Amino acid sequence: MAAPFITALEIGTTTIKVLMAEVRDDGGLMVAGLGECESRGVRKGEIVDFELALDAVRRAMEAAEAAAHKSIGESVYLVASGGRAESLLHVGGIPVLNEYEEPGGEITREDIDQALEVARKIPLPDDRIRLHTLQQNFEVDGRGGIVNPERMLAEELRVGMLLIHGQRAVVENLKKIAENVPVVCADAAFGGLCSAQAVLAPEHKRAGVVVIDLGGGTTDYIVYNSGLVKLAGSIAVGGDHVTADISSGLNLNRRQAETLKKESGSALINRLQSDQNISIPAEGGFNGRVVRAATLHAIINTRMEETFKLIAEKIEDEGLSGMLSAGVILTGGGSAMEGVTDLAQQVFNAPCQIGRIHDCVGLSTKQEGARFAAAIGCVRYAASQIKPELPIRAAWRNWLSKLWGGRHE
Amino acid sequence: MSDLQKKILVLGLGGAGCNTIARIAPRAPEGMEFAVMDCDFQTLETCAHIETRLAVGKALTDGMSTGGDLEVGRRCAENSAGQIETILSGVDLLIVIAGLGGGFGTGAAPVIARMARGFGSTTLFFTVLPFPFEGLVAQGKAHSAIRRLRTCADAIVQMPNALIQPDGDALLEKSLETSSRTLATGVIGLWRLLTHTGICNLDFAALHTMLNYCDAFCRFACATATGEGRADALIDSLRTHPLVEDGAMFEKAPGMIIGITGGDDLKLSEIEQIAEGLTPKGQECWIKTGIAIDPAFTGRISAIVLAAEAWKEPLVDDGRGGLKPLSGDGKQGELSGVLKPRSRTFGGAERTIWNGEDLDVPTYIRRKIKLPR
Repeated sequence: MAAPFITALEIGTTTIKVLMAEVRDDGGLMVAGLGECESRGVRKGEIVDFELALDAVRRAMEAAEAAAHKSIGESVYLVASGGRAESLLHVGGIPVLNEYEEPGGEITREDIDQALEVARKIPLPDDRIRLHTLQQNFEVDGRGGIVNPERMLAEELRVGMLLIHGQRAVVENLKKIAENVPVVCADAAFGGLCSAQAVLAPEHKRAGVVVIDLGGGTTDYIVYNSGLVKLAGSIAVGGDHVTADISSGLNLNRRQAETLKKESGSALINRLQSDQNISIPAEGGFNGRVVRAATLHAIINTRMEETFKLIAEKIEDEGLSGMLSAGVILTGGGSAMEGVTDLAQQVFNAPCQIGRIHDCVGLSTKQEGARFAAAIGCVRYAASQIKPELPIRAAWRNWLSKLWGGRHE
Repeated sequence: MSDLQKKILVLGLGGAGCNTIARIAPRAPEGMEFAVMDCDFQTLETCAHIETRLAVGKALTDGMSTGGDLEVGRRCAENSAGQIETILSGVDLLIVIAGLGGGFGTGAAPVIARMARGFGSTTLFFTVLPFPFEGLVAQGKAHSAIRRLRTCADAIVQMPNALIQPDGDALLEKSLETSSRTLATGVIGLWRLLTHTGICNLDFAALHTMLNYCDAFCRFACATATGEGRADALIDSLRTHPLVEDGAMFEKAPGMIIGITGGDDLKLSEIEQIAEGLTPKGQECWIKTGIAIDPAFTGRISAIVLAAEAWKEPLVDDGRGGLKPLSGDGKQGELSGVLKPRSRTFGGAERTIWNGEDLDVPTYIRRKIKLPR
């Protein structure tokens, strides 16, 4: 089959997902196999028990292979959600010289390459790892927003690079799991970026949008404006925190809290429901209890509102808050929470919707789409990375240079 | 009674509670609902005029008292959970009168509070604390009961028995009469304010707000005055009320409900005078004034004051800044004190520190949000 066949591996805090998909020439995805396994040994997106996590990854892969009726092959693409990712904008530039080596001249292809090279050189502390280096628009003599400066007259050419970096130990450990399966980890992509690839159309990116992936252990976010990534990051707070809050606030065990959250949880405090009681069934030595919906919703509301507000503050700090015309798009398991879109709408003061995956066949996208956004987006990201070259060979050839980004979108 | 009317039930728990109810009930206005509960059948017999009587724990005590064992009291209440639920269901405001330091009242009060919360009722506990001569054991029991009550009751008014006695060498009967009357004035006054639709009636929601915010402890004072300059006299007697530390409580109360009942001759200037006299100076204070007119009060004026000891926002308002308690030392409530951040909540993963805040600790604890209960 001519279409490249890509496997994405997402080691999440709640579930481990393996997605095998073919990428058609027109960019559409056909899901061939999907494997899921309850995640163990992972907390807040970090590995805390290597053996348990490895076992769970193997089982998810077997499930995917069984569903696809074929083998995963030798390489996978990893979704690096979490890892306390952050983004950093670095602007680098060069003076433009004319043929007599005097300032001021026509920008040539070499000038552009050189400027990109300078901008890309961002020193990082040892404990951080580069996930993506995404190019921003060019700036010619202080005028920004220039897409292609070639053959323009200028004295100085500058370009910004948005670096998305994560915690080295976390990402390396995720990668090590894949290598112990054993499969080759061809590349790792930031979870938020992956989710955005799955649910965003180009017009969203141009209008300005924030994609928030509400995961089990982490919340990833990425902000687009005028077609480019402007801000990205990850907060190590997720659905697990909501469950833990419920469990401590209502004195329930984790499993009960989780069930309660999924069945009766709401991110909004609904005055109409505040008088309702929710009964927790008896089991084992537990006699059953009745809790008030108001208490439950208040716990969930405070936590989720806080998480959204942390992101909103980041966006405001970057001066991007007025530039979210396409609003907020939520993905990940947490987006199934009742009222979460309304809450996000309140906090961000922008329209909010659950992400819908476009151009994808073979997945019941309506119900499940938001949960698989990161895995699907990862396949799409991988396809965009390997398209220009021959898939497997090229990946092998410049293994190192490609491995952790180093390349722009 | 229409469906819209909120159901208020006054419940007497244990010996002291039952006796108080027995004294209050005959002079209570029409329509006020009472219930008594004890495991000592003798006590219940003295309350023969109360319609709802519940004898609990027949199997445990065989109709005798608990003998001062609060564990027995607790088990009595738990064993009769079904019957208690029938009484408590549908009650919107539960006013419980209980003497702490003994057996049944002390043991059963937290159980009742929990059940009432399960039904979504607002609970207000008037607890009578033992005399010093009853010994340290009784005092200790009363204290631990208060602590346990605090986690589930909306508000607790503590009334040390010694403080609500008449001055001088009163007869025993008169002493008991006085403490009952203090309670009666408070309970009946509150009931009247809530049920009578006055010019400026105190509605249920206002009381609910107060009880939600008051962080479980309330002070309470009541007084009646007649004749010339009655407003001044009223303020004076409220301020010298033994339960409010000579008015010191009013000066630092962050929240207050003032309920004034008067006859047809009540003047606006009097209301103004009373409200101004009680409002703390130079401090922000949430105040709700309720006024009820009752022809029976012609010629006199009566007031009750519920003052919060601390003030905590039970819910998020704006998420930033506006969540801090308006006053007080910022000490966390019982709930958060119990739930110390456990480092192992997330299986040893690195803590999420964000701008100096530990995000692994539940938000409602960090923001000091009192959960609605």
